Amino acid sequence: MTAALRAFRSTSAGPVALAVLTLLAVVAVVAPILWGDMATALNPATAVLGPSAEHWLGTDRLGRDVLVRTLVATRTSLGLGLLAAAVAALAGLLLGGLVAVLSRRAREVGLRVLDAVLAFPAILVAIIVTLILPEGTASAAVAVGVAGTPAVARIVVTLATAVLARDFVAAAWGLGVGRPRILVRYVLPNIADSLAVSLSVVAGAALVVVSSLSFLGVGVQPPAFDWGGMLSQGVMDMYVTPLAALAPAVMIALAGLAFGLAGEAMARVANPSVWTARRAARHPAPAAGTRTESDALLDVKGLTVTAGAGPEAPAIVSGVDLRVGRGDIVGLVGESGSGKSMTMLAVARLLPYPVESLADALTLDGHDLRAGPGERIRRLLGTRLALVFQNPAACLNPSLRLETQLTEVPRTHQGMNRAQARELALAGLRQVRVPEPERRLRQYPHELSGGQRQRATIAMALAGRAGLLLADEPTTALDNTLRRAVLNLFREANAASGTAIVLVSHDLSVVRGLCDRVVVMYAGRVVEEGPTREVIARPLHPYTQALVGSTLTMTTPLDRPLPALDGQPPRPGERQEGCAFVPRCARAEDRCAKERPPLRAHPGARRTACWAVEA
Amino acid sequence: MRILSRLGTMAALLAALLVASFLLLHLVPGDPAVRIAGLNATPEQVAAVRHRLGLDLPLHRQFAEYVMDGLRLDFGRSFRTGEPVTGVIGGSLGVTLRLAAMGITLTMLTGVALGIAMAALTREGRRPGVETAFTTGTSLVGAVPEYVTGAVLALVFAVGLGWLPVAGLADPAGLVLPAVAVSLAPVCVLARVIRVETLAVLAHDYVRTARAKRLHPVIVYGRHVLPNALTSALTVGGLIFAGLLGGAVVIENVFALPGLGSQLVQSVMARDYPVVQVVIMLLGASIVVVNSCVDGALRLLDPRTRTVSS
Repeated sequence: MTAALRAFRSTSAGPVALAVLTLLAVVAVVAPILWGDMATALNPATAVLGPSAEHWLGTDRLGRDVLVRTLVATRTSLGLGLLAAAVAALAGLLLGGLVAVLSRRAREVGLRVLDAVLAFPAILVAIIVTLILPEGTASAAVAVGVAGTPAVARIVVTLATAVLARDFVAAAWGLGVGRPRILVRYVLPNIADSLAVSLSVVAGAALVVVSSLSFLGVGVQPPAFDWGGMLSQGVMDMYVTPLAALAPAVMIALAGLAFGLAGEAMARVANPSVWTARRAARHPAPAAGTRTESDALLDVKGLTVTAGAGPEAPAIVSGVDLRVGRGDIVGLVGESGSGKSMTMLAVARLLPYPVESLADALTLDGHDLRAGPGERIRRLLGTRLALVFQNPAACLNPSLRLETQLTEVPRTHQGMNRAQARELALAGLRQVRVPEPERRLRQYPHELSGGQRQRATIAMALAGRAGLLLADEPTTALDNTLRRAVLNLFREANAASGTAIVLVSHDLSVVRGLCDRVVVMYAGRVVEEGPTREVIARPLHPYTQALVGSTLTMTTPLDRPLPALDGQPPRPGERQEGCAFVPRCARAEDRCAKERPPLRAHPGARRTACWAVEA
Repeated sequence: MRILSRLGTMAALLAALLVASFLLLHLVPGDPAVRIAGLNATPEQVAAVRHRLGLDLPLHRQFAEYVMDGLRLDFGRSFRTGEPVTGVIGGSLGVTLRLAAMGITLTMLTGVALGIAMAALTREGRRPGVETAFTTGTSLVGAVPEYVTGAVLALVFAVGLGWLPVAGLADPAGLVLPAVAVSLAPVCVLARVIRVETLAVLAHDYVRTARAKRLHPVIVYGRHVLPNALTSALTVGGLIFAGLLGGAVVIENVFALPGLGSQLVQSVMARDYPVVQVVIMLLGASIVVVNSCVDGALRLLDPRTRTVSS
């Protein structure tokens, strides 16, 4: 057994579809041999009977056993479905291949024609095509095949165009290999897998459409019979013997489904990454805590963020304390993966699923945020807390006017009417110096320049007059000019309305320009904090030293290699007992690997977690 | 300019439809005049039929007459009954359009609501059990052809429970079961598309921003998510309409509704070509017009493709 087949059987739909298809194939071969005569033998004495021991599913109006007829009809139904699929596959391959190797212009036209034809339901096309074909059982299948041809051709063109764009095909073109040869030798082998998947789905659809034709009376003609024909007969006697309608109906659905599922399972095997469902356990939310008093605007104590809940869940952030006073500007620095963004999202109660947080204390303006998502917490966070994310321009909804987006916070949380909120939004836009604010409010985000979008986002964040602004890498995606402008806006908001700011960044130079205080995080813990100026001038923790050393400034000597920090920070779940920085630390001692250094106070309102630094 | 090119495409499609329906009669194997006059007809009778139908004219003259007659709404007479085709078709267009309109309304409302609700429930990989149940359920129900659904619905609600009429249009409620039958599979398809689309929208920064504004979830979904997910809903909706029309053709026969579908099938079986030609034109034209309208609506809905006066 090949690996692909094993994978096919291991997907949930695969084995079921495979079993059903095998069973159907066996019935299709065996049933007409065993019961062929029985299925067509007329017996007026047993007409329209309900289920009995002799006739499990009853009889039809000519006294024929419904179960036997249903089983015998499998051959015709499956056979015609497969014939139709084969016609569609062959014609579609030819037509699609032809369109694919045309010149670009001609291909565009070909595609548009295909799309136009595809807009018409296959069943309609099939019905009309039966008119042109000579009457007969196979005609229905051919008609359905013709109707399915554009769909297959469209798939072939899409697949083939991708292959034709590859280098080895271009090389073949260049060598003067002819078009038919390129199609057969280069394109076909490369699209065979994907095509097989599509064809399985096409076969299922074809079977259903052929049955529809028979159901309507333009497909298989008596005395020949298939499921569709049986269904239309059964529907007429539905009041008396519902099973006569139900049995073929179930078979049509079952067979159509089996082909479809087989195709889907094949697609999963061919392209596992797309189909792998994300699996994550659901965990309960942390219990609501009690209300604590605090004079700080934001007070976080012992914050732990885990990927999932429960004792086994790997910790992303462990035991972080963060205090932000009114009007403070605090920088939260660290490499990516240090837990700084998660700390911020935990404060904002916006952690993505299934990340969970726990804290000894988490208060904003004296209110405990750990209580569930109640109306009170919502209002509190809506009015006191504003957020700016990385690439602020992406934070504007493309299908809403700026006015809607800039006024919804004051209108929702501060009970302003439309005019008041509009005035506030205008003032906000003026504050961030967006030109023509009245006109901007009527516009959609795409009508603004990048810089204007940036400013508008910040105006939006500041519109609610929040006391605390959390900004996650707000300048990372920006060029230098915009970066300076954004930082200036933050500074102005802080000076004008006393907005406290927590700036999350991996970039020390941004923090240096804006923040009074800096908190350095490494592997989910705070390793150093203090006044920005001092921390940068005289970093205590070896990690901070490395961070400061790797920052390029005007005075960095360019004739020497730039200092860089080797290695990677440990991932959540890989962190061991001692200090997490040990593997990358030049000053590590035996003690560091065994015992985690606590955050200890140092002169000048500083704290650091390192055994090598004298307390 | 854009509108003109849209209209141009639409006109080209309608013209192609016209040519295709005209050629149908000539693609039929054998001599149509013989078929109409009957196999026992004398050569004189056949010649008379040929002359009456204008089949003795050169092809381009025939086409010109076909178009001119069509513009005068004179589609000839039914081979079957000898009545004018306009009279035969009569009210059946209305029946089919009513069924399709009910079906598409039902589909759009239920499909979009279900898709968004499921996205909200399963966002970021929440409730994997619900996700599995939803995807399995919709792929099962979505794979069942409409006439099977119709038969089962009729069996349960009309025959079994007796709540709704089983067939015909005597009772206005007679359209309920057919409409449900044609929409069930499309609802599943649409709900799946909308769920995936909504999940993509939910991952955008602007939705996180809306949540950071602590707006009520109804506002977050209704104002910030829905318009962005609606584009694909409309795109799929346009495709579904065509499918619904195809489904309607079949389902009319299940519930004995005197619509275009029943008309088409009867005419095809009787080889009544003039009626088939008109039905093709009508069904095709509705698909072309609806698709063009969807294209237009998409432009209106998405502010990025709309030019704003400054």
